[in-house]
Amino acid sequence: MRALYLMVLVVAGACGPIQATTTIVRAEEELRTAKLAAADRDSPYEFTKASLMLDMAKECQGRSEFQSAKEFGDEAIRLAALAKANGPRNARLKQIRMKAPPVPAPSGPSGASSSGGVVR
Amino acid sequence: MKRAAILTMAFWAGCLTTGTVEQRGAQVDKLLAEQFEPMYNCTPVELAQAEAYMAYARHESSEGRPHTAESYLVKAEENARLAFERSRDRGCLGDRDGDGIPDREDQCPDDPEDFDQFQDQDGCPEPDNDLDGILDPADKCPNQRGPVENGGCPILDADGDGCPDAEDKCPTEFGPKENGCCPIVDTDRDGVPDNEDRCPNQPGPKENGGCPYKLIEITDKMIVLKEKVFFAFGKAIIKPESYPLLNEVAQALKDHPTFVIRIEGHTDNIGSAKANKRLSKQRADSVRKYLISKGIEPSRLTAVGYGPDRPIDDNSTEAGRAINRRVEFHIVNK
Repeated sequence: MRALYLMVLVVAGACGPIQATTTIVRAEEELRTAKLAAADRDSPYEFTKASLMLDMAKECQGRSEFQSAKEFGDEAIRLAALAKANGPRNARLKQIRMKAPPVPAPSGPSGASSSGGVVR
Repeated sequence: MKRAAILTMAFWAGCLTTGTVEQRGAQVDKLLAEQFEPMYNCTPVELAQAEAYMAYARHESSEGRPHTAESYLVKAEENARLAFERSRDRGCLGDRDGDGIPDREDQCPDDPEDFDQFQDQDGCPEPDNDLDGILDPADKCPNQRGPVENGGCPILDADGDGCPDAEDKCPTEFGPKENGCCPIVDTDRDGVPDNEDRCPNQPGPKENGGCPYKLIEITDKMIVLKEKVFFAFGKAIIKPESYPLLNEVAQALKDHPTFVIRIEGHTDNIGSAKANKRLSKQRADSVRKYLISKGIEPSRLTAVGYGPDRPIDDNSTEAGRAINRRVEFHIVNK
């Protein structure tokens, strides 16, 4: 019985590091693929923040703050995915902003609009 | 007692530091939130660093490491300031709708551009690009006008014959609806379309179903025979070899139901005039009877025998006399 109790403790104690490590590995992979998709160029906000979140996740892991490491890692994963998703839109916007004078607005109805804003 | 005092002081020191991080952090948050869109577009790296360092600072503060929290807070403030100043210097701050098009260039500064690759430079959203009354998300062809029943897409009619391509059997050839929207072809160019022409490859009058009359020709006043009607010698019995000719005459009369015909019998001058006249009348009657037997209304046919009275050639030669022995069909009434 005592051995079983000890085993549960060991397993439970190991859960945190494993989860944190897994999350960090996943975050690194997400960032790697985001970079391959040129997200560092097209989505610098998301990419930079994701990188910093990953740095902090590693720092927390080094201090054995596994819960925080996992939380920062999860945020890094989310932001890296967002960097990839927002990339094409940002690239288009950048092109448009570099173009010449705006064209006249249509005379048609205007009202409902899809947001041109950014997903944070 | 001394130990309790030290603990209390440490507790309050921690609280004060946490309070400072929260207080200063709130100011950074406020700035970042208010100018997020322009800074996102103009100084994304500084903005990301400011936000990340704020997160670090809060984490460090919550973990009871005020000094590290303070250092991260300073970095956050510094980056927030940089983001703001650089955005301002680059003229990015005036973008109320945050669509990345500065207000000074944005024709709709409060409505974000929808970036649907249609007039994306004007800063205005176009909810219905083609103005066909169907909003773009529901419009299968957002840049081409079209009715609701066609999903907002134009009803295409490539040949312009009024038949939509989807229903047009010949979408690239102009044609009336009654012909499946295909062109009416008239191969023999006789004015009778192939679909109504019994002889589409041979020109012929409409009245004959587009088929030509081979043995006769209809002129203004006559049905002209291209060959003779043959009778038994000295009798009024039509020879069978002339049946096809008379059948075609019957067909022409059916094709022209208003025609009223006078059948004339003529002879040469050999023999007595009286006998010739009787024979020519009998022969004309024979032809009349034959046509009646082919379904022609008797009232449309009269038979006359002129004998030798109206020659059309020289009776002194055999050839001339052969020409004078004849049957003629004169159109009395059209």
